[in-house]
Amino acid sequence: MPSGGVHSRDSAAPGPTHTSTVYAKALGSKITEQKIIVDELSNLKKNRKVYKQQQNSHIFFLEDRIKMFSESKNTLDKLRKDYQALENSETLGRE
Amino acid sequence: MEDFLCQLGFSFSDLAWGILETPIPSTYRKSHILDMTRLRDEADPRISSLVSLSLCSPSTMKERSRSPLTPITMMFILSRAKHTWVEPSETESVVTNCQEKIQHWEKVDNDYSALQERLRTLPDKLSYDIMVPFGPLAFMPGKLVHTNEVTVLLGDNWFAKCSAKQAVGLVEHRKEHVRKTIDDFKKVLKNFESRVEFTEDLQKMSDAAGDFVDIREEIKSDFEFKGKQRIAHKPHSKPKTSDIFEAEFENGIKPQGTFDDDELWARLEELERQEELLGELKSKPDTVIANGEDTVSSEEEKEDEDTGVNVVSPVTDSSAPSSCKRHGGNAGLPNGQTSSLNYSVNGSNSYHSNKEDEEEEEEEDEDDDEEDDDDESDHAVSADNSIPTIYFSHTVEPKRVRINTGKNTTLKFSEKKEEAKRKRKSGAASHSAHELPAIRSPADIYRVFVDVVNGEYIPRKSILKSRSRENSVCSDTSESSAADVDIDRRAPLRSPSSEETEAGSSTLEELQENHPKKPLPSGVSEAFSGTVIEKEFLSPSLAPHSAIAHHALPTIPERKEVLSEASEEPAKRVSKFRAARLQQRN
Repeated sequence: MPSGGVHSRDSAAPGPTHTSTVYAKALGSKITEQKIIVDELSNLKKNRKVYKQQQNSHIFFLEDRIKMFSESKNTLDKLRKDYQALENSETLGRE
Repeated sequence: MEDFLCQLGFSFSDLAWGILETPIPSTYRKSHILDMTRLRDEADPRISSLVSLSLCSPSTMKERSRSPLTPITMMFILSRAKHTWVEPSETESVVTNCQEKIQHWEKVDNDYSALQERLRTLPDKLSYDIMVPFGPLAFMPGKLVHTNEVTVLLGDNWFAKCSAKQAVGLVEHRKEHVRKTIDDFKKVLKNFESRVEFTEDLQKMSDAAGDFVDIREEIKSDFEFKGKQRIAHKPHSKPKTSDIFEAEFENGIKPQGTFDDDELWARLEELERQEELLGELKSKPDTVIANGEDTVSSEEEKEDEDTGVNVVSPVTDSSAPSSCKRHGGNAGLPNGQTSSLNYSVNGSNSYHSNKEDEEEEEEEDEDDDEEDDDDESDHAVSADNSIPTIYFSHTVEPKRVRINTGKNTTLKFSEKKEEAKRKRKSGAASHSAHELPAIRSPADIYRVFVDVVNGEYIPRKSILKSRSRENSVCSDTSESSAADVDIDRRAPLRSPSSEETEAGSSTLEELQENHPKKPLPSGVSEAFSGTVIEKEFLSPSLAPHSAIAHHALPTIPERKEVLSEASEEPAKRVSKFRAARLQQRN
């Protein structure tokens, strides 16, 4: 039985939030989420199966563990970049 | 944008002038003034509003606040805007609401794009290993086969079976719709956001520039408004009544005032006599007059009265003097004669005398004859003491009180026909006399203004209202007022006897309804009876005036009691009259 199911529900990039603070908040939470996912995947035994939930449904598709790991890593990087950009813009705006 | 301006309540001209009047850097001024002048020339308000839109849409406003537009201009605009400006909190709530909706729709869009992606890749493999949901909490491993077959929910539990590619197309279609919705919301959001920013900017400006004062006109609270109204109402009503008073005097009744007092005195006596008679009748059983007959007769009376009114009403203006003469002519006739005389006159003028009336009258006459001795002696005595006749006012006043208290509405005039007739006769004779004393207190004023609705006297809520002039007993002319008084006088007299049936009483009510007009004709031509004569005899003296007031006041409460105890009234009354008389003599 696959014990370690990875539910990456929010893998897609978040829609642009309108207030910068709200957007930053959402971004931050997503980053932490993604961090956990990456951490879990990295610590997973090799014979484990990884399922990914189809968005907005209850079906879980069997995915390749390594593939998912790399994917989630990429997403995390992307999110971090976004967050950085947002912070930069805010600091610039204040100045 | 357009509605933005509308909500602001800017008219183009306002904006234009606001900007024109303020010092603006020349470069800025030039272009805009040109615009505005051109626009001002256009009469079409829509165009102007459009133009003002282009000039003052929120974004441009915002720009201007940073541009060399002077603070004064901005303040002007702000002050103009404040009247119709949507509450900042409101706009903010709209903004947040929009944001939430946009978020929701973006999530939907996101879901659709994920689905689309999945559908696009689904046919790539023949089968997928999946975890099949087994309720909300449980899963079991399974295989997804038929990867190119999907059923699409069209809505309302209708499904379409189609390939993955078709499904992608459907999803795309839906995504379009979602995107459109999102765009709409974004537009709204932008609009309101700019509005919020605009206000914020303005506030900042006003905060920063302490030299500028915000001119505000506070709206007075409702409380003050109410107070004002009340104050305004009272003074109005009073002068009007006074005007009416004057009008009556002008009609030439004033000189007859003394005369009338005498008449009143005479009438009073007659009333007394009637009451005595009434007492007898009461003992005699009134029921002798059958109910059915009674009603019929009263109805007839009513009709007669109507006709009488129609015939004689035009003469009303000249009635007062003529009536006086009549009084003189009739003077000296004994009661019985006067009554008969009176009837003959009625018969000739309008069909006033029906059989029953006559019969009843005969009865009355008999009674009168029987009592005449006493009455005459009384008259003689009273004639000697005629000066203190104050009584008249006394009798009149309580009646008025009744009407004021709204007794009319519930009152059932259950009185004998004969009485009514007598009153009519005697009332007509003396009615002119009442005008002067008629209005002595504010309450009396309301008496004069009584509406007759469905046979009931309903005091007007406001004297000022000229409503139902035709129906009202309102006293435009002296005569009409006199008639009113007459009615008033009758009402109380009728009420006391509870012996009569309701049917009869109701008809009597109707009768009274017509009364207000009737007394005039009767007074003018027909109805003057012995009372007048007596008056002539009795009163060359004008003294009663002063006495009237004194007597009237104390008697009022007694009258009220009488109202409550209808059955006991006749006896009481008699005693009252007597007592009053005795007083006067003393």
